[in-house]
Amino acid sequence: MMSAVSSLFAVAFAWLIGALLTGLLWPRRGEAALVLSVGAGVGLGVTSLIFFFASLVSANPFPVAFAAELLLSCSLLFLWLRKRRTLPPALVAPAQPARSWLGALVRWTFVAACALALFSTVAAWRVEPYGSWDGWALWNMKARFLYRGGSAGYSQMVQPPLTWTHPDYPLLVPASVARSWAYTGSDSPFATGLVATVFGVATLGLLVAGVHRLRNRLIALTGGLVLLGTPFFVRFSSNEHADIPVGFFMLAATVLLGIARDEGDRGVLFLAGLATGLAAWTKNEGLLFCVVLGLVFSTTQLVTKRWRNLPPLLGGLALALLPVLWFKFALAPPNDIMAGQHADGLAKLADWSRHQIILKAWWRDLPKFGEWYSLPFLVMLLHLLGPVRGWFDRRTVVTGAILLLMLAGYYTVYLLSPYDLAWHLDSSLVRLLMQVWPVAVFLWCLLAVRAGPAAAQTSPAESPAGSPPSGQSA
Amino acid sequence: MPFWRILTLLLVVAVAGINLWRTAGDGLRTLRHPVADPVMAQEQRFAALRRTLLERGISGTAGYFADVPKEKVFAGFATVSEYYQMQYALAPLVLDLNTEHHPWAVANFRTAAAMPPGFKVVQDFGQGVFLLQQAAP
Repeated sequence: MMSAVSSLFAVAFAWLIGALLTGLLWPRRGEAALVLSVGAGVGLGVTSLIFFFASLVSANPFPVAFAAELLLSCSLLFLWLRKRRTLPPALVAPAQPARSWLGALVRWTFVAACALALFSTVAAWRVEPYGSWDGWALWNMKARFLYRGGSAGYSQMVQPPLTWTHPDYPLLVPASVARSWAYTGSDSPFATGLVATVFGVATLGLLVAGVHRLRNRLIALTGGLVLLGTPFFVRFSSNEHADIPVGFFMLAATVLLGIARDEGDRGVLFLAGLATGLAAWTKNEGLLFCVVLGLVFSTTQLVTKRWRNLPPLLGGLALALLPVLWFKFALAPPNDIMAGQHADGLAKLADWSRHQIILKAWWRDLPKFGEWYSLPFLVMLLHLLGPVRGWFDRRTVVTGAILLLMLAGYYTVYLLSPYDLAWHLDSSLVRLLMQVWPVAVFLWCLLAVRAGPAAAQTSPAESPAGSPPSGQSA
Repeated sequence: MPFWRILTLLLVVAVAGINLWRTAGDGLRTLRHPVADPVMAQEQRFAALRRTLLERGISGTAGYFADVPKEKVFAGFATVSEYYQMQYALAPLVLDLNTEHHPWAVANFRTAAAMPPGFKVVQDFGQGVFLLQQAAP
């Protein structure tokens, strides 16, 4: 019981730090759902970095990490209290459909869905308290090295006999779990499940709050239902894989780019950069996401000639990415996929049989990666039918470009894979698709409710000159 | 909102509801008919060995013996699972399949495998779990 309380405290403290940091950078008051959702992941990410570096310098990293977290939280609280008095009010909520039976039905279905998802999560905890295969064999294993090994833990983790644990993998999830164990004083399975579940909850909260902010509540809750109605998402949210956390950071960066207005909102852009860097601290796919987001954002700024928006995004990115790059180049052994690249890379790209194998696997896994009992794609597409006018606003284009480039990146990585291609696809493709699924649902929500000039989303005082208001109910 | 969009929205909600309902149903079934978690079972099986390792101050890397030769440990799901589960239970001790370089070794036998030559049994923990030490040459 005590370990459960301590685990809850550890995660809540990380969440508080993240929420304060997010709140400090947030440009308006009254958007608590967004701040809390982004703050959950940011908090766990920042505290995992603190704990990891404390474990490198101290045999008992907990006091060092706790002191640093306490100092950070007090500083953030002080700055946030000073800043919040001067913050402008929240933007006027987007036009909502009138209260109707449809709104009530979706609302109550969403509440029931949350209860069912919670039940499924608790059931998964009971059945696999140590998580599923990757959960214990990769992520929690590394957490044990960090927690039990003290300052020698990391050097033990990268010993040659353990190459099968992929020692180059980033450590956000293991360091978060090890940090929770350090608070608890024992490596209780509850802490591992809790960290995993918080990322699932934060992903759902971020999707709903983000779409609500940019479109309307009805489609936000429907998007949340689509995510909750993905059995693989619900199961993965509790079984301690790192794919849900990296998917959270991808969604966070995408939503934050959507929320940041054309002028100003430097804090939101800084957070988008931070979330992008933390994706790279979660999984190697996050490094690909850094490249994709950097490419998409730079292109949009080039087109719109708004170079002033680049520094805050790059600042946030650098803050999270520099420790990751240091970890990658100074500490971790080379990545197996990169190390396996030889002069035959171009030949692989041109090998049509490899394209065929990959396309077949994508065709096979796309309809089933969510482990659906009833496929949602057709009804989701049917809902989009109608005039395409209003589809291609800045947000849908940016989100769509991020999604497509990520998929193209995954495709290229498979083409260059040094492993047996069929095995590589069988063992990872569904998880990669799950990483980008929240972004895909976000895009669907944006498309389902067209942006249009009639929506007055920003209050007159807030609306930046020359920047068109965006988002409108159907 | 046009009728068509209300209808399709309802369909999206219904499909999501069906999926989640069946996911929860699966959860209920597994709770009613629980299968013992192999990782938890192995944690209990190796608990005494881990305590002894800590008491003796054995750290760093130790050799690992299984029912099959080291070349075949990664060849089968059962053998690789056993190896990974023991590594998980004993971390931060590193278990090396190349046993000859290490003074200490652990054995994880499911069958009556012959003890490896060159090592003596220091302690037998039952259920095929042994702590071994390299015999003096």
